[in-house]
Amino acid sequence: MSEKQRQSYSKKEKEEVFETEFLPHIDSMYNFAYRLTFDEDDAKDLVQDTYLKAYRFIQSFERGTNAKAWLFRILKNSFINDFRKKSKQPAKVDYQEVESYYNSEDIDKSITTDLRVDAVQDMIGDEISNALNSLDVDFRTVIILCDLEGFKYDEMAKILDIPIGTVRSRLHRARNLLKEKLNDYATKMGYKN
Amino acid sequence: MGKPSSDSSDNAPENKGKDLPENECLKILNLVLDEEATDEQRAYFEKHLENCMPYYEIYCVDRKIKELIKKNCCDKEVPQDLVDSIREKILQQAE
Repeated sequence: MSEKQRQSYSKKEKEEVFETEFLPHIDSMYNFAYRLTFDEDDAKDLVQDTYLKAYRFIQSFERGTNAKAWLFRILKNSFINDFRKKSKQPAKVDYQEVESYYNSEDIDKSITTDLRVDAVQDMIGDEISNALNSLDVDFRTVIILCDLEGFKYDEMAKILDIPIGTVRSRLHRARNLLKEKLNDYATKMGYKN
Repeated sequence: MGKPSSDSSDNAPENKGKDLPENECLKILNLVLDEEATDEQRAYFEKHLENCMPYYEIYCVDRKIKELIKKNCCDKEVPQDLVDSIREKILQQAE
C-alpha cells in the first residue's frame, strides 16, 4: 500500500471516487464483514466504519488502483483492532500457534486423499457454507479472499500484512481443514471412501 | 493499493523436470488452482496429472470446492439503509 504519495482531491473528486470506486464493492464488503462477525448489526457497523475511514483517508488512495483490496485491508484492520477487542467472543487461539501446529508436515497427507468429487458435487450450498463458517477466522479469511473474492496472492499479502509464502501455506492449511469438514459431511451423507 | 510488493519470501519450487516430493506437488496444485502458477509449473503439473489418478482426483475436488464456495457463499446482500446511512454520514463530514 503506497501511503507515501498523498493525493489531493477536491471535495467533488472525493465524492466521485467514493461513488465510483468505493461504493461498488459494498456487497462484497458486507458479505466479508458478515462472515467475519456472523452478526448483521456487527457487519453493518464494520462496513460503515470501514467506509468512513476510507473517506477520511481518501488522500492516501490513488485513483484507478485497486480500491477493492484497499477497502478490504481497512475492513480487516478494523475487525482486528476495534471489533475483536470489543467482542464478547472468547479470545481466539493465538494464530501463530495454530499455524505452527498445522505446519507440521503430516497434516497434508492425512487429509488430501479422502474426499471424492462425486461427494462434493452432491453437497448443497449449506454444507459448503457451514464448513467455511466453522473454520478459525484466519483460515476462513484466506478462503474468502481467494476463492470468493478472487484476490491474487500478492493482493492477499497486502490485505493481511503477511508475506506471500504465508498466504500460500495458510491457504493450503485452510483448504485441508475445509476438506476435513466436508469429509465429515460426506461420511454422514453415506459416501464411503 | 500501490505497486506489487517486493517482499517475496515466496520462492516457488523450480521444476527441473524431475519428480517432486508429494508436498511440492500439492503446492503446485494450489498454484494451478488459483491461477498463480508459472507456465513451467503448469506444464509440469498437467504432465504429472496424466499418469497420477490420486492427484487428478484431488485437483478435481479442490476445483469443485472452489467453484461451490464462489457460488454459495456470497449470499449476503447489503441492506439498502446501510448504503444510505453511509452516504449521509459522508456528506455531513464533507461539509
